[in-house]
Amino acid sequence: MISQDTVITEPRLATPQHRIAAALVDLGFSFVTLGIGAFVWSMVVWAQGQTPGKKLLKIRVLDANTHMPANWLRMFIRQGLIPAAFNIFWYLPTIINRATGSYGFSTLGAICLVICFLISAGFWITDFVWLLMKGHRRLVDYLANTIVVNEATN
Amino acid sequence: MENEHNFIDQQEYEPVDFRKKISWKIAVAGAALSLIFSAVTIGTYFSHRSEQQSAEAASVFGTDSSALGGLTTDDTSWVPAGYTAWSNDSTVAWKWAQGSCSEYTCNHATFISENGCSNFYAAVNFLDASGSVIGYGNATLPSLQPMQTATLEFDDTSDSSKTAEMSQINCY
Repeated sequence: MISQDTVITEPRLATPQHRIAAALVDLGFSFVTLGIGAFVWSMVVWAQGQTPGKKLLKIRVLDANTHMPANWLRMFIRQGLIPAAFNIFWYLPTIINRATGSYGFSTLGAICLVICFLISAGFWITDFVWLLMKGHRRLVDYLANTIVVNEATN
Repeated sequence: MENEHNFIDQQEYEPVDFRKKISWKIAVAGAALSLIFSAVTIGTYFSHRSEQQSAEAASVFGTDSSALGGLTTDDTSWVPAGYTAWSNDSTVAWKWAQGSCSEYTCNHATFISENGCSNFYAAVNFLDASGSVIGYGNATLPSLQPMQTATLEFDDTSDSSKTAEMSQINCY
C-alpha cells in the first residue's frame, strides 16, 4: 500500500568525486580565463547556489535546513569569506612582506608564520577529510550551514 | 542482549553529528590562534625591518644610530625650555645668553647637544643698523657631552655691529 501522505524527500547528495570534479572545473576555468571569466560567471550563478563548475556538472548548494538553493550572500560567505578567513592569517604577513619589498623575518616571526600556515593547512585538511565522511559535508558546509546535492538525472 | 538492540532501534534516535558541534569551535579557535601568531609575525617583521634600516643608514652616513636619528627626524622633544633647535641639526639647540664682554662688543649664546659631539663649531653674523652683515665671530669646542651646556662668547672685533644672528652650528 502506498501512503498518500506528503513527505519531504531527502536530497541526493553529490558524491565527493562529483564535487572534486566541479572544483577542478572551477579551477581550470579560472586558469583559462585568467580569473576574470570565472569571477563574472560566479557572480551570476552564485544567486542560484552554484559555481561555474557546479553548474556544468549539475550540482547545487542548498541550505541544510530548508533544502532551498543557497542565495548569493550565502554563496559569497561559503565560497569567498570562509576560504579567505582560512588563509588570511598566513597570507597577510606574506603580502606585507612582499609589498614592502623585503623578506626580513626574525626567527620568531618566521616560526609564527609557519604556525599560521600549519593552522591554515589544518583547516583545509579537515575540510577535505570531512568531505569524505558520512554526509559529505565539508567544514565550510557546516560553517555556512549548507549541503551539496546532485541534480543530474539518472 | 537481542532485546536491548530492539529497544534502541525503537527509539526516535537521531545520531548527533559531532562535526556540527565542533565546526565553529575549530573555526574560532583556529582564527584566534592564527590572529595571535599573525600579529606576532607582522610585529616582529616591522621591528626587524626598522632595525635593518637603522643599521643600513648608519653604515651609509658613518654615524651611530642615535646620531642618525637626529639627521633623519625632526624630533625636538628633547630640547629644554628656552632653547631653540638648530634648523639644520635638530640634535643641537641654542639660546642667547647674558654675559660680560672681555675686550670687544660681543654676544653670548648657550648650546646644548642631545647626543654630544667630539667637535663643536658655532658662528654668529654681526649686522649693522641696516641689517647688513658686517662681520662674524666664531667659537669652537673640542668636545661637548650629551645634554651638557656650553656658553660661548662671540666677539665683534669691529665694535660696530648693532645686532647679531646665529649663522652656523656644527656638532659632529
